[in-house]
Amino acid sequence: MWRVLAASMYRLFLAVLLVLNVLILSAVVVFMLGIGGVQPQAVTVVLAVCVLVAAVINGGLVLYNLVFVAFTNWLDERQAKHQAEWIARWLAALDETQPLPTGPLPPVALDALAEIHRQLKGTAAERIATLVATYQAEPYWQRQLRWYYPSATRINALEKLAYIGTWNSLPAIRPCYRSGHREVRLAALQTAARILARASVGKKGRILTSLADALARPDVPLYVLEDVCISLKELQGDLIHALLKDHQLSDEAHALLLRLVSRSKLSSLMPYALRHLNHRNPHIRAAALQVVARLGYVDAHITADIHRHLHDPLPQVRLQAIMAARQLPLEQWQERLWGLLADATWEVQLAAIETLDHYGIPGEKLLLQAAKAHPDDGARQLAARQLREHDVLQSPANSEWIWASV
Amino acid sequence: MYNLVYAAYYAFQFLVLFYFASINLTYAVLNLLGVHAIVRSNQQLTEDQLDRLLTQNAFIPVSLLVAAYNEEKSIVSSVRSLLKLHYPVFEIIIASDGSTDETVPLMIDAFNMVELTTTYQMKIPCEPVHRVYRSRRYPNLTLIEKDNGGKADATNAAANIARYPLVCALDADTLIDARALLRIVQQFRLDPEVIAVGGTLRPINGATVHNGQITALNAPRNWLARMQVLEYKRAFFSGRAGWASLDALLIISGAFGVFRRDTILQVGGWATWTITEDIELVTRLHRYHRDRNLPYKIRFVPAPVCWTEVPSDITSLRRQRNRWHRGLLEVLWHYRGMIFNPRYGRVGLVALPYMLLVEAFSPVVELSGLLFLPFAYFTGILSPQVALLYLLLAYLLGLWLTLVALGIESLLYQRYNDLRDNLRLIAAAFLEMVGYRQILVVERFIAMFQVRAKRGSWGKMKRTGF
Repeated sequence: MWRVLAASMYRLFLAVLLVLNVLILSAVVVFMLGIGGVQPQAVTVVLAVCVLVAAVINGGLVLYNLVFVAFTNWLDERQAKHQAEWIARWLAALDETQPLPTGPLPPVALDALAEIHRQLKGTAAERIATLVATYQAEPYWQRQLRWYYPSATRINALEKLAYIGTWNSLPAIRPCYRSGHREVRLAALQTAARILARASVGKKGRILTSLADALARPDVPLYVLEDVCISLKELQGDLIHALLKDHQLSDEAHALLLRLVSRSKLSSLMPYALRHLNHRNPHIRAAALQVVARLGYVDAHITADIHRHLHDPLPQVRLQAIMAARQLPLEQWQERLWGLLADATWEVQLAAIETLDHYGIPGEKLLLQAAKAHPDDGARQLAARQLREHDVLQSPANSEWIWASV
Repeated sequence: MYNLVYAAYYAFQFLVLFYFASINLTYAVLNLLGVHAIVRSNQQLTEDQLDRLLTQNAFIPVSLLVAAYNEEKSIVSSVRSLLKLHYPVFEIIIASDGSTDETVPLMIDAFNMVELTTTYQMKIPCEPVHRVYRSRRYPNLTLIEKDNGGKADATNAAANIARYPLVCALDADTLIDARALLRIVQQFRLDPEVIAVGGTLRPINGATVHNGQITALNAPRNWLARMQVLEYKRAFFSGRAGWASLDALLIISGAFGVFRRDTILQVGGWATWTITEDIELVTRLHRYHRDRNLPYKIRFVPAPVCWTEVPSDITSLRRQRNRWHRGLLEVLWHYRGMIFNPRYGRVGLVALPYMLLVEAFSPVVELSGLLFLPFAYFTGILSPQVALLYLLLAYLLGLWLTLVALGIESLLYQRYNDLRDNLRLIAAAFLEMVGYRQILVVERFIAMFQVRAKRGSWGKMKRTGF
């Protein structure tokens, strides 16, 4: 973490070097042009000064590189050694072969505790959690969330709290949702989600609402939205409900949330998916169809929509429509399925072929028919391949024909 | 007559000086932008977040496409190291591009591969594929045997058969960091508009490799390799990081680059007419998207993700740089309509002109500057003191850039822990500008006249393996 802090200073250092570079080069250009009738000796002097400054800068850089490497090697070794000692000490204390440490603990001890908590699971992790409370580790990292700490320190504290934090840390994390530093804001959202998922007490509704408000901001990238929702586990549905109900979201965010609904099979959110089946944005339509397909929803009201989406110009919509239509009787859409076997998009074509496997014997018959007589060459080959992967076709005549068709 | 010569020399001196100042300023700005981007990238993707990507199943499957031609010496070990990548779902497709050695039999034997009949769409035209094999032991490993068509053609054949939404083009002898895919793929998750991501390539010379992973990294013993280490640091940490932050990155190394598969299919895959298909592809991606006003981003991951062997003898090095320069000129000529064209934004107005005036044209300026100096000295035009000071300044500013790149890596990635290795690299930095650089300038100058004569020629590199 200190390395990232030092990097911020290095940026400033480089900015200074850039300015010096500009000054040096400007001086060289100006004097070489001989503006104002500068004497040749002055050109030599200016150049000599520029060379001197550049030499000093380079000397400084060489020293910086060497001293930095030597110092950081020493620092890293020292930190690693101390952390290893503390980890051993904590583990010995957990094994009860050594007494628990007393007195105020150095930061490295708390870091070691957090590291152990990260690695251990089960009852050992619970015991670590008790130690974390005993030694006031949480307040230590909560203090480091304050606005005047550098962003690297705050992010580090947020990462620690993500593992060991409890409900009590949430009030300290909330102000970070509005931090001026983007990475801090995003880390705060992710940490809050992980703590909420673990917390067994507390009024989660209010916290989820504030989390939803923070997530709905347009500068929150989609991957953070996804990460937060996945981290929330059982609370995911409540958060998605709050987001979809009360906020204006971008189309991409809408599509993402619907995909999460299908991924986590949140059947309580089916009404939202159905409402978006005919959305103007095709990616949202595809995501809504994915919900229908994965949750196995069959309703006479949406059959017409599914049929319509089988003809959608966007391949992803057609693909998801095929998945959803698998729940319909084959005869309801056999003609369209036949056409989809020759779809211009490979993935749609493959999905159509594989759909026939779902329909048992009627599907196999259609597969055989496609392998023999479909007007599209690719469809015939795919169907033949699909049939070869089945062991059901015992007729030698059919087998010969299938091998010959490739 | 003397006045005319003097005026001509003075004008030339002014042009060279202006050129020198512009290049250095550009490098300095790219340095600054690059460091800023690197620091931000490190904050965005900490080790903790990488771990969580794995546990959350929030990843995108990747197809690794490896073109292989007569790689019997290293193909098995390369594939073994790829199979150990720390990534949940990926497949490896090795495309043997008409290999005449034991590449295919070795692969079949080592990985228990069986021929299978498969059907796929040939979306990118390529030389005929004769056989497809899959490994029984590693179901995510596929080998295709095809007619020789070149690296780009082989990569295209592999892309045709790829199953996953992201494709990663690799060289057969590239060693990838175990977490490379996690870092790179995260860029696609960060922003759905990202269509391609490049990673930092590092010379593996001097490294100790065990079971396909680097266990120790030391500065190479070979001086040529050391200087290339410095060049790569400058090129990646200052150059590419800076360009990527300006949304004007033109190069994603052919040794390692990840692209969205459907984008690659849309633009027609890797070009087979050029020897630097990596630059060509990225330039084409820019043109394709800007011509159609499609939103897109091309990103760069500064954390070192990939290792490759660099030439350790001067002949191989000169051949390599000759090829790179010829390829650059081919691509610049092919896309000349984009240069200084405002329709292409920063790519057309900044990045491509930079490639033309700095990367492509610099051998001419540097060589003529070097050759003109003795002429000016012996004709009495030039003051020896001014000439010496000027040369010293050019040397020191060049050294400055290298030391900054070294500092960036020491600061953020701590790759060379041994102080002696750092001393060796610093010593190489001082010596780089005396001889090494000039040899490469001459080679690049010669390459300018060989573009047509040597079209399609790769040359051979002597490999020692790792």
